[in-house]
Amino acid sequence: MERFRELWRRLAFLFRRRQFENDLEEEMRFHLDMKTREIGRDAARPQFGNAALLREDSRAAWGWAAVESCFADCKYAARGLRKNPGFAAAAVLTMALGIGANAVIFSLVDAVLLRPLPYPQPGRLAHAVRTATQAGYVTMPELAFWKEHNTSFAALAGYRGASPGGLVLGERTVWVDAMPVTADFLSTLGVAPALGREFRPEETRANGPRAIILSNGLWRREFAADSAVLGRVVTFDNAGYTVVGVLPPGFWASGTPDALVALRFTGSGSDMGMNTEMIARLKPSVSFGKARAEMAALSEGFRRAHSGEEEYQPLTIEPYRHWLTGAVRPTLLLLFGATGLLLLIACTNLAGLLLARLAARQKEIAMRLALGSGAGRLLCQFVAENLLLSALGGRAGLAAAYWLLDGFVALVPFRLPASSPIRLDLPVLVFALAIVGGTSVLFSLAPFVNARRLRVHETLKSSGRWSGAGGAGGLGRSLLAVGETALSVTLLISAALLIHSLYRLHQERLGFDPHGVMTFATPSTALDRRHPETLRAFNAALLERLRATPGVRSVAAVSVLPLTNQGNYPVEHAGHPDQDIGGMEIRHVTPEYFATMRTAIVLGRPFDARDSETATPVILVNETVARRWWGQGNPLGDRVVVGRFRGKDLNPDSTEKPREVVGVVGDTKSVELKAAPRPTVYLPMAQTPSYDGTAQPRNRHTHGTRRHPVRRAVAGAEAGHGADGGRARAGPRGSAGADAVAQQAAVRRAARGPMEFPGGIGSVASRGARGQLSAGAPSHARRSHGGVAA
Amino acid sequence: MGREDQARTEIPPGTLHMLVLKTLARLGPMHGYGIAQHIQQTSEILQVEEGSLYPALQRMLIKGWVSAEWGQSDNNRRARYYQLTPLGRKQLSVEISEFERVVEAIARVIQPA
Repeated sequence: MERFRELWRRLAFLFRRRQFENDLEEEMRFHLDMKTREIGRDAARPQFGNAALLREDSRAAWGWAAVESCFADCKYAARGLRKNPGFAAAAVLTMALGIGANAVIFSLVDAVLLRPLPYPQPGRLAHAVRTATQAGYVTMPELAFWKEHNTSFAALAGYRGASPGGLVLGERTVWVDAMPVTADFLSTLGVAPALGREFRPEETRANGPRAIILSNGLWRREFAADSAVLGRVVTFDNAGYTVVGVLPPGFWASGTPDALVALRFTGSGSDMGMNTEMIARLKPSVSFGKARAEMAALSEGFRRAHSGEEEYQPLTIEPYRHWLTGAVRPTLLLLFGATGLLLLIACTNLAGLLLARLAARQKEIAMRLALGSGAGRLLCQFVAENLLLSALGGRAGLAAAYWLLDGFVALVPFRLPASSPIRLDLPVLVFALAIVGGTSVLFSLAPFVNARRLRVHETLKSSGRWSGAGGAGGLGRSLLAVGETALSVTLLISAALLIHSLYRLHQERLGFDPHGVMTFATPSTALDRRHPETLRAFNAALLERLRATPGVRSVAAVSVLPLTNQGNYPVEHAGHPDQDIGGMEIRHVTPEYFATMRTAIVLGRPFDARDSETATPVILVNETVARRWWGQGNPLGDRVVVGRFRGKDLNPDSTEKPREVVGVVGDTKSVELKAAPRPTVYLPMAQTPSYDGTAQPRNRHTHGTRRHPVRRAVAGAEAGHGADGGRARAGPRGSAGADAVAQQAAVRRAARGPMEFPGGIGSVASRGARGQLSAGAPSHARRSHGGVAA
Repeated sequence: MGREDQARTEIPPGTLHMLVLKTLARLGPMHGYGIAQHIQQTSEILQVEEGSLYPALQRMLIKGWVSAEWGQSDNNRRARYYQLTPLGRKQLSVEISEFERVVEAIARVIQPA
């Protein structure tokens, strides 16, 4: 108790220092006056003692001497810096660069790699991957088989990526991203719904009841956080869904979906596609090794149970976090290493500056040593100076990082699987503080070593110029020079490797010209797909409006933009079921697509007005397909069947007729810049009613400058469409709003390639920044993309 | 100074607090000058470096053994008067008993066998 009072008195002293000084001064004067009256002035003073020293001693009694001398040091340091503004500016800028870059990259590393996933015991979560390829997609029968037979997992579920759909709210339709998940998805993650329950197994069966779980945000935004929403039937994607639950706030599942819908077996061909991700939670007693052994055994069991699968690729598991971050981990660590190196170089530069400054201050230091200043006191002085420099630099760096972080994150050309927002928060600040502290102590030691070895006499005697070419100072400077050269060479080599990678990427033939292309996506609803004539009217209206927009040279629509997504759909060379080349990319395009994208037609003709719904079904193949099926022969006039695999139609109800090949399209990079072009076929959108279309305008301006006219065109087309069709189409997340998001996502994806090379640092600036390669949203079979070209 | 001072003895280390506390216990509220006067006059031989009273008084203020207040001195000047607190009174008895123990112990050592 008494200790607290004592502490309190000491603290209170800090706020009454002036009072204290005055009191002490006055009572000592009183004492001396009394003494002088008693024994005379000359006798009084010696008997009283050294008043200045005694005052110092009295002050020290309160225990703040160290703090005060530190404060004095800082004041002195600040004065020193003000006298050398050039030095101060150089040092602060150097530190700002080092600390700012590190703070930005560390905030990415922290959000993506360090912060735990927002689930209980996230380390027990596993994700299924193919043992051989590490591909992470399974089929629905596999999911069912594993769910039935596994013994390693406490819970197991499947999910797919979120896709947008229209949720009807009275007069309005809002676009919500709905993520299809199976029963047990939430219990696998260990997340309890805030309200209601998660999906039941019957809701994931073919033709089972349709159920939806709302995100907390959607529930608050659109349902006024009304708990009576449970059990209500809402119209989503033109079907009735029963609301069975509400997610807790902040729910994250490799994204922040607006809703979860029950992922249902369809009983059709799509169940057989590798389109579902499998996630599981290990039982407490089971290790990853044990679970992997069981995965191998189950794979063998599945292969035997499905004897048709001769080339079955066995499944294994890896930690969920690893699956989420595997692709970006090396890149992030590389960036982190690079900024670390940058910081080291900044430090050596600053150390060099400090040494130079120290050389100029040798006399001052020698003088202070001669006057009896301890080496420790001098060290304090240096630390104070450097701390001040680092702190100023750190402040400038953090300010820069704060302003640049969002922009930088937007430029990162790959998806950052961060379960919490990327921002400058406490861990980042602590990290920056640690850098500031660490670097300033580091700098302080070098001059300190010099100061201790300083020959006071010689320095004071010398005529003012410091002549210490040899000795400790010389050695320190040599070490610095060597270190800095080594670091710079390392960074230079990394940069050279990076430029080489970039150069190679730029040498990759894209097969299309991304310059001036602006893209966006509009989602469609199930109703749109059932009413192809409405959809076609909308597309026609939209394309017409875009064509009329000033600055737009050509407009086209495509179902899947290049470099955004991989398709996997069988196509057969009619009459040659043996010439199987596996799944292909199917692209539904409007006639102007090839001209808009400047993709070459190497043989035959592109689509045109002839290829209407009632005309002969036609198709274009890319060079890869032509080579595989026809070799040197002429494909024109030959026929292919979409959706047929080894003589069997994928969808038994298919009405697909054989299509006549009317042309060969130049190969384009379809999925990744690194990978060879995939076999691709193009269908005219007019002959494929199940796909809607939007536009891909080629603009005379780079996008971002002249986006508004295009947005207006989209909005106008939507309004007209809504009026014609008698229903509102654009919600708050309608395409005009969604396109910015879509573009961003697409630009990231488009440049995904470069980041996979060692030293992918610079691709951030080179590709995403100016949006040279503007591709559309993550595509989905239900949507299509457009672009305008200049 | 001079002759008179040579006869005086420095106060033994560690006893200044005790002497100040005892003085305040005897005189009631007193200023630094008065405390120094009292110690030197009462002891007859003890020499206080008078200024060193002030750091000691600060330490006792921190410890809460004394409190300080400004008042009028006998010759009508403003002076800072120190006063013993209950805690200081307790501390005084602790210091006295401790001092006596030490003196007895020393006496036992230096007494002729």
